[in-house]
Amino acid sequence: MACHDAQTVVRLDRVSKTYGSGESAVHAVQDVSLELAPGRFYILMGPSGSGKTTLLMLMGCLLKPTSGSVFLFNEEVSALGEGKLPRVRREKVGFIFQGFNLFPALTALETIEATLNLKGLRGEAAREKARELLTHLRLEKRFHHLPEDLSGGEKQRVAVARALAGDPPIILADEPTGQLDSKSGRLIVEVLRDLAHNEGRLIFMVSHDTRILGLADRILEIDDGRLKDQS
Amino acid sequence: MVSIARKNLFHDKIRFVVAQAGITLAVVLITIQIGVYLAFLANTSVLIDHTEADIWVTARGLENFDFGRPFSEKKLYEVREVPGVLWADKYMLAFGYWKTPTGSQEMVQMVGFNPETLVGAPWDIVRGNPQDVKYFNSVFYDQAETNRLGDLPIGAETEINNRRVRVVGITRGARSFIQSPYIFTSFKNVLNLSFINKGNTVYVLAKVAPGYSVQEVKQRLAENLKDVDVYTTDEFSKKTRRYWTVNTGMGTALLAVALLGLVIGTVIVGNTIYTATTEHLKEFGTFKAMGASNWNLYKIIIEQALVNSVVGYGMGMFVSYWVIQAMRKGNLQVLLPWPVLVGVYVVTALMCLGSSVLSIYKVTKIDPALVFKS
Ligand SMILES: Nc1ncnc2c1ncn2[C@@H]1O[C@H](COP(=O)(O)OP(=O)(O)OP(=O)(O)O)[C@@H](O)[C@H]1O
Ligand SMILES: [Mg+2]
Repeated sequence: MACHDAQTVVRLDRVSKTYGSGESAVHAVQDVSLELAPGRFYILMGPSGSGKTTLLMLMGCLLKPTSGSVFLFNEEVSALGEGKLPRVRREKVGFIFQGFNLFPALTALETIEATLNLKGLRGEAAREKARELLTHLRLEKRFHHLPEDLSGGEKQRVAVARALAGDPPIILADEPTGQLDSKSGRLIVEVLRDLAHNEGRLIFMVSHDTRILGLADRILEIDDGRLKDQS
Repeated sequence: MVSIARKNLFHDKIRFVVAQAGITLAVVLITIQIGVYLAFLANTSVLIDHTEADIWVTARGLENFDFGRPFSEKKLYEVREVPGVLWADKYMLAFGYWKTPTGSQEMVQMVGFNPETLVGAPWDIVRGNPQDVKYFNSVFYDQAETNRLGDLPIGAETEINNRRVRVVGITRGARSFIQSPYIFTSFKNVLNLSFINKGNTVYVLAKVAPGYSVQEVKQRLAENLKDVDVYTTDEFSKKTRRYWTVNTGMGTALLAVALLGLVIGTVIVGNTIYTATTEHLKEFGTFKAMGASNWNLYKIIIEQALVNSVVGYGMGMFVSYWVIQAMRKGNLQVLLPWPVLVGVYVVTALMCLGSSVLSIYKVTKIDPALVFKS
């Protein structure tokens, strides 16, 4: 095996993912090798159905590759049993989704607090940390709002705060601006970029929006499950 | 800690109310039916359970207490001969027609005891002296039977089998449930008022002397006496209850309604919890993506079920209380010892947990791709 940069956070080694088998088999991701470093902001582009979400799920330990290996901090997570993966996700990865996925019954503060509870922080400490994260995302006036009373941009900022709960070094975002107008979309992307540059996290984001490409440190393109030669 | 379970539950108020209505209905049905069943059970053997006798000698092949048949009273002397018998006495039971104040006839069961020994006499007296039944055709009736027999004061006269009788006392708690009302009088008076021939008795009651075991004496009586059956009081009581509950189908019917309540509750609660889960599947999936284990999710669903069960049980008990009050006014008895109330809670909790099984299965099977769909 080749020698690897100690600075590599996520490493994919000839990863493929095939859904189904036989005639109906879909080769969603094919032979992808990739090394991602901390403190950098990556944007993944590609047409619909090209395998972007699948790749994200492989990196986030939500899917096992059909072949190849996935390493997070040099730990081969693709070899871990199903029971060990929740811990890896709890400690290493934060997710952001296009559809926000907020519990309608929880206020902004409760959403973050519940996530912190899950990650082992309890009581007043969790509440204090939740306030801090929301304030960091300039949501200090929205602590006690339910998702239904928040704008799309605000909802996504709550989701970013949730992804940051537990301080994970990796943030995976799947089209986080897909349901936002361009102004709030750009704001979210700027927040994500700052999280990479100021806090040293690895941010990996899927996007269709060509207007924000300039904010990325590196742009990756995928087509038909294969990563294109990178610029 | 933020309780996602409670937040979810109380957020969707209409769904919560529907689930609560289902649980409350189930709890009320189960509680009332069991209460009526137990009261019914205790009542069918109420006379047996209140005698101080240890052993009952009956005609051969008797089905239950209320269908007692006469046999020769000579058996009484044979019983007294058997070692280990402290005392023995006759006890009479016979059907008759009671003339009510409106002139109609009501079927009654006359209970005849020995006014000298008071073996088998009423145990809870509202008015009168049980020894007074020694006077000619003097009777006691139960205060709970005024609906059927008329509200007759002490000294009032009426008729049984067209013979004049006089009320000399009123009892309490000697009420039959589906049987005819019990009228207490002396052994001799029953012979006067019924069609049972002199020289017969319907039961012989015996007390076992100290130092002898009831089973042993019962065994000896059974061996020595011909053409009769011998039971311990407990056996005879159970036999009678079994007859009225199993053989008549009455008990089964009452329990079937309780079971129906359970089914209704399970279906309604299961349905609401299940739709609540499927609607939030994406959020549950998100939680899972962020590192929640299946157990973390089960705990949420189980907490929802338990909160549902506690609130529903509380409301069910509240409603049951008022239903029971109304039933008591209508002279219907309900017997609910506290272990039954605890048992009903356990059943309620199991019902709510059981109806969550599908939801638990559903979150186990969440496809991670679901959370990425917009
Ligand atoms: N669970 C599945 N079973 C079978 N095929 C699947 C499954 N999930 C995805 N696919 C297929 O795999 C391919 C890649 O899907 P994926 O969702 O990764 O694409 P994507 O680039 O995220 O698309 P989009 O831009 O529309 O979100 C598609 O052809 C899709 O139909
Ligand atoms: Mg996608």
